[in-house]
Amino acid sequence: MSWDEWEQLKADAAARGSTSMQLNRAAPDGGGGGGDLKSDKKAWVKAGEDTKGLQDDIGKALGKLDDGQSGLGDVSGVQSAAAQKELYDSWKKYVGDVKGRCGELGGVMERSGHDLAKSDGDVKAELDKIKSKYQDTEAVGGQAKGR
Amino acid sequence: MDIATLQALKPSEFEEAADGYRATSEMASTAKDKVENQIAAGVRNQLKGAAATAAVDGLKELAQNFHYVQTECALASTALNGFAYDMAAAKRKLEAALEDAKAAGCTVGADGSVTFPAGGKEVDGKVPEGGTVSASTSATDPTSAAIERQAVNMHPNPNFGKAVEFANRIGDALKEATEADAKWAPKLRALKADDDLKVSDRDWSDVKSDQDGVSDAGKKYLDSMPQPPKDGSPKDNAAWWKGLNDEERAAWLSLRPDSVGKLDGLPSAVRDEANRVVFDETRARYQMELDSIPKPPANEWTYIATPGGWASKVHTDEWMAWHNKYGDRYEHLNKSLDGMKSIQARFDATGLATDKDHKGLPPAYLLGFSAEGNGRAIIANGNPDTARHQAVYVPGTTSNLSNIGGNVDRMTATWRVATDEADGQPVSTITWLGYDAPQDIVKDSPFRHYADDGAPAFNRFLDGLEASHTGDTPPHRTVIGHSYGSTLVGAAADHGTLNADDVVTAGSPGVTVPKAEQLDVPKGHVWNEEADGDVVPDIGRFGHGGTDWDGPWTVPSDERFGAKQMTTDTEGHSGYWDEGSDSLLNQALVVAGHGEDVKLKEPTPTWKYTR
Repeated sequence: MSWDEWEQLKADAAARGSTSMQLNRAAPDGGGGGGDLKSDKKAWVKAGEDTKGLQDDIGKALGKLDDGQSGLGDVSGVQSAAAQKELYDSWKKYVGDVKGRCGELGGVMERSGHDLAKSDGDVKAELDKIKSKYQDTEAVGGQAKGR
Repeated sequence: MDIATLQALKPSEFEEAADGYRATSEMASTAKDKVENQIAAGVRNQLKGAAATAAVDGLKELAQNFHYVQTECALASTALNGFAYDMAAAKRKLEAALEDAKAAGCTVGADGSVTFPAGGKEVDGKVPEGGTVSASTSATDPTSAAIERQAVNMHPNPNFGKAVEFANRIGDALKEATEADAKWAPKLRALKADDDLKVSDRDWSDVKSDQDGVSDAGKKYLDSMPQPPKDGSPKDNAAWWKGLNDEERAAWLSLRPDSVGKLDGLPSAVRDEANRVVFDETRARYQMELDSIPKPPANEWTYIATPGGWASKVHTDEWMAWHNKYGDRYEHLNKSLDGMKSIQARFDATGLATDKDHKGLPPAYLLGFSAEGNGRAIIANGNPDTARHQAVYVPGTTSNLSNIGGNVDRMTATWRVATDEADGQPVSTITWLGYDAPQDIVKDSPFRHYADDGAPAFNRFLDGLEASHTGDTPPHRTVIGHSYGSTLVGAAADHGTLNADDVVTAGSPGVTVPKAEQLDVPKGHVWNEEADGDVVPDIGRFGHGGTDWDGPWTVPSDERFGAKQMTTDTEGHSGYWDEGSDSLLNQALVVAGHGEDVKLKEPTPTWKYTR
C-alpha cells in the first residue's frame, strides 16, 4: 500500500475522532418550534401545569413516608431509632422543599402562558430568581450530615 | 442494649418505615423521568428563546433534585431493611435462649443474669443448691473458655452449667443487637438530606460513600437474598431478577447499581436506572478529583541549544515534574468527563425534532457505563424492550468514551430515518461501545485480538436484548458494524451465534470470515456499504479479510463474499450516516424491516480486487 493511502486513512480517522456533538436543532428562525404565539402560550401553560402537578404525587409520597413512621412507638435505647428520626425529619423537609420548587417553577411557566403581556426577558428574570434562591450552601452542607 | 429493649423492638416497624422511604424513592424516580422525558422535552421541542432555555435549565435542576431523592431514599429504605434484618436475627436468638431458660426452670434477670434451681446428686444428704450466674457472653478466648468449661464440670449442680450456657446465649444475642445498632446508626445519619436544593458534585460523592457504607453494613442482609447467577446467561439473569420481590430489587439496585447495570437480560429500564446512578456518581467523583489536581504549569515549553547549533523545543522541568506526577490522571479525567458531557447532551436532547413534521428524540436508555480504561457506553434511543425494530451499532478504531458523541449522533440520525420508514412501529437504535476498540489505526487496528476479546460480550448483549424483550413478537434486530466494529461482529458470529436478523457492514476491513452466510443470518440479510474514497476495505483486507478455497482476504465489498451491496452517495470512511444521504437511508430501511426498498448496486468484480 502507498503512503497516500495511509495518509488518507489517518486523515479520515482524525476527522472521525473530532466529530463534535451535533444535535438536530430546530432552525433558529423558527423551523422547529414557536410557530405562533398561541401555540407558544399553550406550551408554556402545559409545562407549568405538568410541573405543578408533580406536587400531588409528592404529597402522596410524603403521606406514605409519614405512615411508615407510625409504627415506631417508644424506641428509647435504640440508637438507630434516634438516627432514623433525624433522617426522617431531614427528608420530610427536603421533599417538602422540592414540592415548593415544583410549585414555584410551574407557576412561573404557567403564568407566562396566560399573561400575553410578559416578555421573554421578564420570564427569564423570574426563572433566574428561582435558580438563585436554591444555591449551594457548601459550608453548612458539609458539616450538617454528621459523617 | 438490654433485654427489655430488644424484646420491645419490633423489626417489622422499621420495615414499615423502610416502605415509606421506598415509596418516596419510587415517586422521585417517576417524577424525574416525567420532568426529563416529558416536560423538559416538550419545552425543548416547542419553545425557543432565552426564557425557554432558562426553563429547561430550571427543570434540569429539578430533575437532579428528584434523582437525589430517588437514590438516597432507596438507600435509606435498604438500610432500614438491613437494620431490621440484623435485629430480627439477634431477637430470635434472644427469644430462643429465654424460652430454653424458662423450660429448664431458670429465671432470667433484667440484667441478663440467670438464676438456676437446686438440682443434682445429693452431697452430704443435701441436694446441691441453686444460684445465680451473672450476665456474660461466650468466651472467645480459648483460655477463658477452658476455665469456664472446668468450672461447669466441677460444679455439683448440673443446672449451673445450663445457666452458664443460657447466660452466654442471652449475652451474645444482646451483644449482636448492640453492635448492629451501633453499626447502623451512623449509616442512617449519613443518609440525611442535604440542607439546600442544589445537587452538587459533593452531594453525589456523598451518595457514593453512603452507598458504600450501607453496602458494608448490609452485607448479611444482601447475602440473605437470591444472588445474581455467577457467569449466568442473559436468560439466567432475567430469571433471577424476575424472581426477586420489590424489596429485594430495591436493595440490589441501591447497593449494587454498577453490577445491576451491567447484567444482560435485565429490563432496560432497570439497567438505565442503575447506570444513571453510576453515571452521576462517577461524574461528580471525576470532577472533584480533577478540581483537586493542580493545573499544568503555564510555561510548558522552552528551548535548549543542541550541539548542531540550533534550538530544540523541549518541555520545561517544571512542566515535566507536573506531568510525571499528574499528567496521565489529568488526561484520563478530562477525556472521561468530555465523554460524560456528550452522554449528558444526548439526555438533554430528548424531545428535539428536526422539524414539526417529525417526532422528537425518544428518551435515552443508558444500558452500560464505565469510565475505567477506554470506557464503556451503551446508549439506546427508545426502550429496546418494547421496540419492534432494534439496531445495534458497533463503532471502530479510535472509539472510546471521550469521543462517544459522534457515535451517539450516528444512531440518533439512524433512529430518525428508521422511524420514518417503520410504518409506525417503535424503533430503538443502540450505540454499543462495549469493548476496547483499537485506538491507533496504524499500530493497533491490524490486530485481531480486540475483536476476539470483545466478541463474547457482544453476543451476550444481543442475547440480553432478546431475553429482556416484552411482548409476544420477538423484535427484528439489525447489527451495524463500522470499520473495526464490523470485524468484531464477524468475530462474534464466528465464535458464538450472532443473535440478529440482519447485518450491515460499512467501511469494513474484513469480518474475519470469508462468506456472508457465516454471519448467522438468513441468506440475503447481509448488507454492505463501501463509499467512494473509503480506503479501509482494501487496506484492511490483508489483516481481517476472510480466507477460504475461493481466495484469500475477502471483505464484504467483494462479490464472492455474497453480501448485498447498498449504494452510497457519501465520501470516505466516515460519511455513512450523513443526514439526508442515501448511505443513511439504505441502512435505515434495513433497520425498519424494508430491505426490499434498499437501492443496490453490483459488487466489485473479482478481477478488480485480487492482486
